[in-house]
Amino acid sequence: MVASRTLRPLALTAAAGLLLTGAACNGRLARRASQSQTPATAVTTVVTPAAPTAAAPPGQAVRTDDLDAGLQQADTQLSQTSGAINDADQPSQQNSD
Amino acid sequence: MTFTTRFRMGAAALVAAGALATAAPAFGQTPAPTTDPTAPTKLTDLKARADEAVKDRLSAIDTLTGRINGAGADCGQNADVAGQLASDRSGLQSLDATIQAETDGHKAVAEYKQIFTDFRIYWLQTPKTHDVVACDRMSKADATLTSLRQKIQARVDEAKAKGYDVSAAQAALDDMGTKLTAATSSAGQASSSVADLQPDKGNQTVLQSNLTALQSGRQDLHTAWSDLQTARHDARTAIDDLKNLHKS
Repeated sequence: MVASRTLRPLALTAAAGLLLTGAACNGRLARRASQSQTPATAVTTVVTPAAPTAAAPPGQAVRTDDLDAGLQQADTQLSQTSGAINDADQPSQQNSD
Repeated sequence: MTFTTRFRMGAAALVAAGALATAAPAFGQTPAPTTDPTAPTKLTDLKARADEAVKDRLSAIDTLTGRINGAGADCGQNADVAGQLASDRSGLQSLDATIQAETDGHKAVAEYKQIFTDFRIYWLQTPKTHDVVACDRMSKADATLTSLRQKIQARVDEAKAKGYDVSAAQAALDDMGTKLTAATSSAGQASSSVADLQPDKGNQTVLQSNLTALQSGRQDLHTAWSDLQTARHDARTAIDDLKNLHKS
């Protein structure tokens, strides 16, 4: 009888402790769960690569290969222009009207 | 100088002249309309001939419109000329319908003539559209060369900073800039001067004025083309100079 009286507060204390521990754990788990569901804020760090240094070929002051390519592109445009001018210079297929 | 040597030199000169002749577009005279077709005396024949003439012109209009839409650039007159062609298309269709419904022989003859004098699809609208499209193409090539010139200028500046003598390359680039500006101006003049030419409707004064304007526009195109070729040559010169730079 005396022992049960003595043990009852201890049991109550232990039960309360267990409950508190459970609540605390559940709160942490809930936070973890909510963190896993919340999409992480995207922090994108764009690392812009430095423009490739146009190294001049040996024996040259500056790079020119891309300039040659640009000139080839211009030649294509000029070829089309020449065709258009030739069209403009053709006499009309019917000169009666 | 032996005969063989002379023969070889002559042959080389002929080949060079031939290459130049084929490389450079020819700029011929704009043919003036001679006489407009005479209307058939029989009304049924006139109607058949009119319908055929209108269909030919509608086909030509479609081709010209396709040229403008496929020009890939615009000197500023594309919408104007495309609008004229669309108007010509509806006008010719309307005129054909009027002729097909005509019962008065005299009116039919007058309306038949309008197919030619009031539209001038072959003689006026065709060379006009070709001039405008040529300007469009030139402006595209001009833009490409202008972009290239800026790149070359950056390399010239880079070489200069490294202590190289870039005076020759810079001179070529300066001339290139001048020629590109001149080409833009001449091509634009060619296009704008012909874009709004109107059919003469049988008025000989207007017809001659249109002829002169077309011829002048053709000459402006020739000038612009020459400037573009020089600008291209300048670019080649500047690039070659950059390849062969020596420390000053």
